[in-house]
Amino acid sequence: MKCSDLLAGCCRGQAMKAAMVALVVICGSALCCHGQESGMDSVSALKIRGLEYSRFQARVHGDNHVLDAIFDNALVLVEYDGTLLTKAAYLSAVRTGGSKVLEITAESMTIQLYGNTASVVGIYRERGVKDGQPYLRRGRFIDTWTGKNGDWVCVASAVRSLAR
Amino acid sequence: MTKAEVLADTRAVSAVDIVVQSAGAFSHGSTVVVTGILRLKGIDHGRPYLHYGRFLDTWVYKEAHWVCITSVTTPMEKAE
Repeated sequence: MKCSDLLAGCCRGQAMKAAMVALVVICGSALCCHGQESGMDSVSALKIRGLEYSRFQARVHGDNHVLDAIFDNALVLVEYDGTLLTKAAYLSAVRTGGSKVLEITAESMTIQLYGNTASVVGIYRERGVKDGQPYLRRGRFIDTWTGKNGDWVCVASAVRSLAR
Repeated sequence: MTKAEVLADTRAVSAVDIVVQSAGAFSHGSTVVVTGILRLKGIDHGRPYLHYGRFLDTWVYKEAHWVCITSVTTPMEKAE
């Protein structure tokens, strides 16, 4: 797979093939430490996993109060079509958007801790209705969390479509 | 892709022109999130291509160096 293929999803007939390749790069030495989390790290990983599930549920129920607490005010969010949203824009879209999310499930989720920062990489499946038409979307999500004032907040989130 | 796969892919790629059209950085202490738009131009099987994508990278400061821990590029129909 060439780099060019990774961006080809929206432009060529090989869209599905390209979309199946996650452009997720996990660099640094943390990979070597996989499975060697300290007790504190395990607690943090569990908490972040729970927050991810809370986020999915809040999106389904349109619960902006929960989403507001989960997302940092400086959130950077990239939608499946490359649209960049701020926290305010995302919450507004949840409140007034034309799509109704019925279900979000996580097929997989891997959490890596780097001190006060955590990355979460996974695959999700979303079912909903947009403009009166049902849709089913599957994608790779990559979230970044940081510890602030004793809590974990999501500071960045991006998705990329995958083949269903 | 893992780090090893990315390095192997980079070695295998032929001439590619990558231009960062816009970028912004958001600092959270020892963590920085960078996002922007890439324009990727090259030739694949003899045919020229031009693609755009939104990238989102996360960097952490570790042992006196900035290292990239995650990177994702989402394809875009066209640059904004």
